[in-house]
Amino acid sequence: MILRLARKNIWRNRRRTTITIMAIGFAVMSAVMMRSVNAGMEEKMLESIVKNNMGYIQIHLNGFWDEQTLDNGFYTDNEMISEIEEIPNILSIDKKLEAGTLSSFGNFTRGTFIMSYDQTKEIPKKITNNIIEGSFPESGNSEILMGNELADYLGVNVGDTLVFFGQGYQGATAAGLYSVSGLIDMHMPELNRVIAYMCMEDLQYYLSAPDLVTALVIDLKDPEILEETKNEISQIVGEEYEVMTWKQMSPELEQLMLTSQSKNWIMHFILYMVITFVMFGTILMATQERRYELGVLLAIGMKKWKTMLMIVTETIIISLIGVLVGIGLAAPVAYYFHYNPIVLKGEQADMMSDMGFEPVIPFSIDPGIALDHAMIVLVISLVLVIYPIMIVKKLKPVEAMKL
Amino acid sequence: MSVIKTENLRKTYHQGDYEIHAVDDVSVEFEQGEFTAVVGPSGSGKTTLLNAIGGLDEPTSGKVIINNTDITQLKGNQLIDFRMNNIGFVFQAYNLIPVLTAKENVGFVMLLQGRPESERESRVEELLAAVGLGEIMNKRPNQMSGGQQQRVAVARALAPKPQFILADEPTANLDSVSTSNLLDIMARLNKEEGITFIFSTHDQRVIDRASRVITMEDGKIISDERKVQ
Repeated sequence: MILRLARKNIWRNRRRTTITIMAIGFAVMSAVMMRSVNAGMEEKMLESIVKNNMGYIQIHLNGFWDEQTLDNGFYTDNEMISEIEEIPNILSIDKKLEAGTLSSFGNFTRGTFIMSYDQTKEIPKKITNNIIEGSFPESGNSEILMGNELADYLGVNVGDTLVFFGQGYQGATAAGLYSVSGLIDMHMPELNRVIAYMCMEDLQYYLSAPDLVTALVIDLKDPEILEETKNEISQIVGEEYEVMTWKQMSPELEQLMLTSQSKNWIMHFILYMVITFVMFGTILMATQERRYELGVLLAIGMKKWKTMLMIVTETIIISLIGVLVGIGLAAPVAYYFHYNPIVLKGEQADMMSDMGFEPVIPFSIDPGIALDHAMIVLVISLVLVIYPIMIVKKLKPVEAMKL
Repeated sequence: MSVIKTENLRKTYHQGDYEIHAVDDVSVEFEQGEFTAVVGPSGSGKTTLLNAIGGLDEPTSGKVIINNTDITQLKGNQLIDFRMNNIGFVFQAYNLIPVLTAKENVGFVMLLQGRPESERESRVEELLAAVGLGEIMNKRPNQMSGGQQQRVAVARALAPKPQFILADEPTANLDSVSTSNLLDIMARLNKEEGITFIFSTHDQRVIDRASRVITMEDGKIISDERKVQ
């Protein structure tokens, strides 16, 4: 009965209800899209820096982070890795070996950062998806995959052979000839200018450091429980190793994300203040306009709690419809820009690239965003509905029915 | 034997420094099956008396005893339940629920009482037929004339089978034909079902049909006449 009455009351003043629903819908749409952009950029940043490169957690030999040299590398302990893999939140553990060296072709030489990948595992999509020419190097063939801008600088093409020369493990000289199997565009010019990929075994051979790694890179199923997972890992690896989260390894990235979130919340606060006033205006008008009718309901025998429940139901229905409209409007846009991110150009793109991020703005399609905003609007409704509840509580039928 | 009794009933309003005694020490009794018109000029206290008898308004002092229950002692839901089960109201402005059809309006109080749907359906149809509105039971108030709305209001008041009906100026907004129809219906219900009617009214046509006429002035009863039928 309450639901039926509430539903009929809502559609009695169609224009006002429609305006309220559209106002809530527009605000929810704006809030969802704003958050979607923000979350999308955060996800992209994390993907660029954390997921594709740094991992959520890294394990190093003690002291490596402060002095990142090969001499602070370590030999992996498979038993330890197996034990870590048993932690429920662990998605994957990858061995990481990186080294700086010089690459030279013809008259050109440039400092090059060699990253390795574990050839026994599936090649990461961040690499395979970004190969623009040629193919991925095969283990044991002395092949490398080069950043496209590094290749341009040296003047090499796929199939050419170049020289790597540098320092290996514990003072050994590292030198070798490597053929270019492919070119890669990581969408980060800074990286493209210096990066080269090599199979881990080949890099270990080049550096005279068989089985040596500089880090174990850990990806998580749920990044939200970062600290707990870190503590669990620390207990397994003991004091010989340092366990660091991405927040410790890249505090500037965390700061950047926190700043972005703060700005976002300020915008959301302003938006929700507008929604609150729109909703309150409607509730205020509707309540005052219906005092007489509410008095009649009480006079003919409707109990006050039922009358209150009817008003609460009306408010929740309007809010829910508004939320659904908002999400319905935002979802296709978010989906479109999630799969077709906005590509930045000019100075903005350069700025993003300089910071090490791909210059694109994808939208997040995390359903939690819509759910969060739906909850916020519902909470606002439930707070605002206190006003008509108080009116009904104090309402006396005779006074309410005085024209 | 009286079924409604007021004892030294008083309702006082404050307007600035002034006290207005809308109902001033009224003691009156109503017997089962009476058809009473409470008359008097505007502001004489007719509506306030009816509201106090119906438990819609809390008196400043005095008692309202209905079937041996002092309703001034009932609070909150107790009073609402008592009112819903014993008293039907007919208001000057009809006061139908605008979003409900005639049928739904009439069945609404029974719904509040928790009566089963089958009982509601048959009672509503019977009542709407009795007030001559069987054909328009699915219309909403804004699709009905004033007279039709008031007849729906009467059917609504009768739905929970109340012992009393309090009608505040029920014919004030009706034309003569509608007034006559409405009074015929009420008189029939009074006679056939023994329902006690108390009207507040200015309308001579209502006064002419009443079996008892109470005249009020300045919150007091100045005359109380029973007509010889």
